[in-house]
Amino acid sequence: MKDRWLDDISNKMSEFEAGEPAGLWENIETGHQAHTSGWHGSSLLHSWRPWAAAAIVGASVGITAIIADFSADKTNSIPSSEEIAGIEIEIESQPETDLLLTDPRITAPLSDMRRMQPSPRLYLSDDRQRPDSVSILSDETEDNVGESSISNEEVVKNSDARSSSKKKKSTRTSSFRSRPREEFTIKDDSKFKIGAYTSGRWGGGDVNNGGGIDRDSYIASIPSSSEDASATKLKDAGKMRHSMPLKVGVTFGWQVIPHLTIGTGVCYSFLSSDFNNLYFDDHFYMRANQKLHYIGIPVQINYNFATWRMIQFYGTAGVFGEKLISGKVSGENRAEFTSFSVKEKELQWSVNAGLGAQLNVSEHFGFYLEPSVGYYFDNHSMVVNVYKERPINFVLTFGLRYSFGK
Amino acid sequence: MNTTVSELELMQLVERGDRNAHKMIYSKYIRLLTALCGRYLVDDEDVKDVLQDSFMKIFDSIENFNYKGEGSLRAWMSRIVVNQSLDFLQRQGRISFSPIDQLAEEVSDEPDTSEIPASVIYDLIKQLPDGYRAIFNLYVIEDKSHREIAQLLNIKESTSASQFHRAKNLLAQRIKEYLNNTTI
Repeated sequence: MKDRWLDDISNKMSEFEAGEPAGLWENIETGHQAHTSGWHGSSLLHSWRPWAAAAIVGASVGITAIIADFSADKTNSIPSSEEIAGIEIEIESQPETDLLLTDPRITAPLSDMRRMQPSPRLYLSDDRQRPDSVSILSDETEDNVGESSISNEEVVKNSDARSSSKKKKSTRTSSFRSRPREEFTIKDDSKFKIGAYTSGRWGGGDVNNGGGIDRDSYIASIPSSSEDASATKLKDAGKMRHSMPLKVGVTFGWQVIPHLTIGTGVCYSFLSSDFNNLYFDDHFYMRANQKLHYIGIPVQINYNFATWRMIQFYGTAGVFGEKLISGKVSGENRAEFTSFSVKEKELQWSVNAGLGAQLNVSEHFGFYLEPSVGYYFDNHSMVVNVYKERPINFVLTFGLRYSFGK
Repeated sequence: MNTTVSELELMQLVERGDRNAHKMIYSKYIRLLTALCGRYLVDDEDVKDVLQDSFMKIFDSIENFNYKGEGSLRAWMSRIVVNQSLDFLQRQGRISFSPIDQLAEEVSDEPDTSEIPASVIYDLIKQLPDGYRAIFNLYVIEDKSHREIAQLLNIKESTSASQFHRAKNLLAQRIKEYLNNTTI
């Protein structure tokens, strides 16, 4: 119970007014306009972040395209089927009784070759003259000068006629570019992929280690029997520290064209934050903890650009929308512990891009590691979380993928 | 500027997005909040800076303020100014308390403040040391408990109680000196 003179002082001071500081309104007006127009210092700092996010996504896509194009050059060294047909060498086999040499690759002594009759003839399946074609001739061709005068057109016709008869063909490609090394052969041909993944904080790791962040105000909604469930109240938070978000999800992907997969899925995110000196309404909390639970749907594009042995390398980019489904702040006020719920009507959108490496342990299963960077757009809600304090996040995702379907 | 507009009308203007709403709110409460801030901070420039920060915060979040009746807006704004003032003092490291040997003597009887103008009491409060002044304001005028004050200032509850007792004695002594000087 206060003394009477203290009550008197309290009554007098509660209604006492002092002169307005000169120039204060102008300062407030200028500062508020700058803040809302984006020219405020912190707003300006935030305004470049969407552009940074777009640059990160564009750079990742560009790097992926360059790597894919570089890999494609090597694959072009594999002749197409048409090219192979164009330089196909058909070697007609003679009747077995006369066959002494059927494999042109067999190198026989000259004396043996003279005993061969007739000698294999060389036919071209088309009339293209390839100066670097392999030709197989025996010494006896000199004795067949007359026959060698057969025109190429007749050779073509003859080859067509012989193609319907019994014959053994021996073909070999004569690609004169080196075959690509297996390391750069793209082999992914599975139509569908399903996977599970996790990323973020497991057993520790804070976004802000030590010191915390000073935050001016925090507003959350409180469900109360006497108030509307969507009502909001203002609280002042002294310092905050946000833990790295923990994410767990499942994905489903569909390969629309070779090497390009579009995927979606469901992802659960858990965000935890600690406050010091949190004011809520008329209650003060020396320490408080906030736990937020989000559910979201990602849409992702993956492009496989290389394979080396059992490892596939790919680029990825996508967009992610999530919604707060449950939130709670638990506060300690000396010996009293109280809690209130947190609500957020707005969706939380983000974009991400990165590179990944998948180790295929079997035909269908593979483990993948995916470092990526994400940018979280400010949804202008009053919920304070790591998405707002650190819009740009570097994440390492680990997952398991099952590929199936042709 | 008309300062007799009710808080309900002001909130309705805010909801409608009236561009003058902020100025009307400022005009209605600036003198009250200046006096409140001045009880915590002695320097006029510090008062101006803290008030600017406070109003920026108020205007940034007023659209989400839950109006609960006449007086709730004022209480909300006052709370923000008090918090900003305390934050300022703590950042400046000015929440400190004098050693025992510098304390005022114990005042046996209560001073009579009924004839003392509010402006004089205001000035006498501003003359208290920073730490004493903060605790006195929080306990007597903001009606905080020693437990809450201890949490706000990161001190022990017993420290809040003892420092308030000393602040009260010091203020009582200065009120008596004022009364003695005015009667002479």
